[in-house]
Amino acid sequence: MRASLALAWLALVLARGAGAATLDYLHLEANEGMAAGGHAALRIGLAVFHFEHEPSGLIRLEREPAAAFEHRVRALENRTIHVARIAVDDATAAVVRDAFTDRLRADAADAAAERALAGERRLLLALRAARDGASPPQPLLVPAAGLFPPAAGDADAADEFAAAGAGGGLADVRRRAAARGVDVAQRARAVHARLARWAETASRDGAPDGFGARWYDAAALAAGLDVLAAARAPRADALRTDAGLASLALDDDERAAVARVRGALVGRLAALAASDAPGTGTALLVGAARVAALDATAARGRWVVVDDLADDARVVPPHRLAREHDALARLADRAVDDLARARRALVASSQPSDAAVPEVALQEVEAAANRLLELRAGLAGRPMRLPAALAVPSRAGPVAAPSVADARGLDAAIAAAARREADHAAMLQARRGYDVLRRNCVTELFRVVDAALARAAGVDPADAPAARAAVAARLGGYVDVAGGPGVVPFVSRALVERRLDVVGTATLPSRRLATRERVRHEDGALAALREDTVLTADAYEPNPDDSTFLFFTDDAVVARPLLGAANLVVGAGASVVGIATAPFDRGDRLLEGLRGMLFSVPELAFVSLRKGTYLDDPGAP
Amino acid sequence: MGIHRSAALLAAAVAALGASGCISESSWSSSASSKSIQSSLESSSSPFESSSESSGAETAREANYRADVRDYVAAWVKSGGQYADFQQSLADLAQRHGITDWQGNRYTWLGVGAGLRKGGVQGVALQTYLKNLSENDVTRREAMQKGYDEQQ
Repeated sequence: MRASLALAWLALVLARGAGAATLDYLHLEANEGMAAGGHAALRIGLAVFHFEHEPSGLIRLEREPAAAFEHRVRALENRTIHVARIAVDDATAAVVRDAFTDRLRADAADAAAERALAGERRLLLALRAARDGASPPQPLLVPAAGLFPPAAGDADAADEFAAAGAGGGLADVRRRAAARGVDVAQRARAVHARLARWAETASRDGAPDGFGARWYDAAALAAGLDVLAAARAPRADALRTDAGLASLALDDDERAAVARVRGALVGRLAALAASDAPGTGTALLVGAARVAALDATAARGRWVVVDDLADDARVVPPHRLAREHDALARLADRAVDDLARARRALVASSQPSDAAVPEVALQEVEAAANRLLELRAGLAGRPMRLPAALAVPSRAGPVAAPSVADARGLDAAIAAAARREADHAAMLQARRGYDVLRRNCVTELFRVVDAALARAAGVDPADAPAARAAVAARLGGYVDVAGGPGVVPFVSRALVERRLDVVGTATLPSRRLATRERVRHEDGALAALREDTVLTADAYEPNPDDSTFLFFTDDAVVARPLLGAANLVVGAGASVVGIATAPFDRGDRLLEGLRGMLFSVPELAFVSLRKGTYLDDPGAP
Repeated sequence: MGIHRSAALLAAAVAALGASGCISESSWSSSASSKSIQSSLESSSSPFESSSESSGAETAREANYRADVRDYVAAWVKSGGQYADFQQSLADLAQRHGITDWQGNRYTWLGVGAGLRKGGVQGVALQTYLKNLSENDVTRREAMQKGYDEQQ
């Protein structure tokens, strides 16, 4: 049975989730810079899975919470979502969900292997440079090691925070470790010796499988143990606060919670100092920086957090934010609320009876505070860094390559490492390389689903007739998108609706279209017209990422070419102005104008790609 | 046929525009990172959406982490994996969830226990896994057992 579901009902279902046994095929309309052909995704229970085309040329699976996905797409990216709900039972939903989870792990493992192979080649090149008495061609970087100066007493050390107590906590860690029978300095020397031994062996006999990954992991462990052994304070710019921000002040509950979390963290670091398990070095480095931040927090009576911005975080220059003061202020208010909520959660999760470190709660405080501090920087006219979705302090720092006495096998090892890296890249390209017709966001969704359902039926996915039958038995039909027009997201949605057992469809309008409809309903059609231009729309403030245009054309089908022509003229005008302003804005306005012209051209042929985007959502809960 | 022809034309137009598909975030940013401004500055999914603020409540993030550990361990058990791979994979998985100290995180071991059950481990094999994976840590073992018992 096919029925149209009420929009409000489905919006509610999408926001809240409807349990595991839901399979929604999602088609996202296009917008500027976000897939001109639109995008496709699959919602399974509370999670949305979709494949993204990366700048590297590969296609990679992403998973997002359904509510966050819908908010991002509709409220921020201003895109309409079309939903087709496919009837499935619990078992089928579980099979599909597990298949996508497996694919997530496989993609992550491939990416990790790629990084490890590149790191291994860099390491071997550094060993050769050390043999030849030269500087390494590229530094050997270890995540989170850059939070600390390379040696105690370095001029970059967090002098003001050190004066406020940072560093003292690490001496506590060392004492607690000693009480467990672990001499941190001796452990550090032993790990350094292990690193040197491995390097020697690889230089003489060639690098064994996994050499690079193991070496970097041990190098991080050595760096962490060095920091503990010297009770080294973090770098001055690795800890951050804002003395002018009253909302960062600690209350009594927080003061007690900070002491409890600090005590638990010191205990965990002392235990980790004895561990050789993978990831221990990063945990030690991040944990040591957090102990210092908590000590500084207690001493100052205001929150001090570790800088969690990624090394390659996008930096937005002040001139691009000049028109966004109101939106930034709203976002900063929201960040204050987020921070307050995170602080309450941290207090609640750090109970005297529980010695565990509430790492997730602490990281949430850290993330909200960093977001707030970056927004404050933007409001103050300074460059603003953009945080990652899930930020953990990771500032990379260089470690020294050990010198090797016997490097007979080094040249061969370097050649072999380069071959392995090239082979892996070729394998990734063959298995994950984006191809608009053969491997895109649509084809991969169907590939994963079809293979999972075939295997669940005990059928080889390569046995096409049997695999089709297995899929049809579960989904009520079969959709073949490979190589045909079905690779286009909106066509694939039509095929899903036509061929599978779809129990309901709905359209979730973009934020602007929803606003326009509300205005039309409340104030009439004439009032709704003001939502059709950038200059008069109540709900739209030009986003620095948007091109220059005047008319929204996504709901003006008949008039689209005419409005597109006007947009083309506006884009051309902005480009001319941009030429004059290029020396002052580094060509930003010129680029916006040229992009405005580019995205006006399809409108002349009745195709609307650009819809405008939003910097924030004042209506978000 | 009509829909096919239109789609083919659109695909050609997209290719002609040079705009590749399936990008869901802005590609116009000026740095190596393609993260769009708006997605970066709003809080991502609320970590509190399915939890209370009371002590001991599992947040959505922790639940997701535990579920991913469970699924990994179930797959690892079925593939007869190596212990070294097991630890490295847990470390990588935790990192993707913003957790650095995977060894000290209770949800790691709850997830491991749940994964053993999902992977079909029982009887003597279960006791062997619990003993080896806990490395004589009573807290880990208890959490694994609890995760195993709670898994449907």
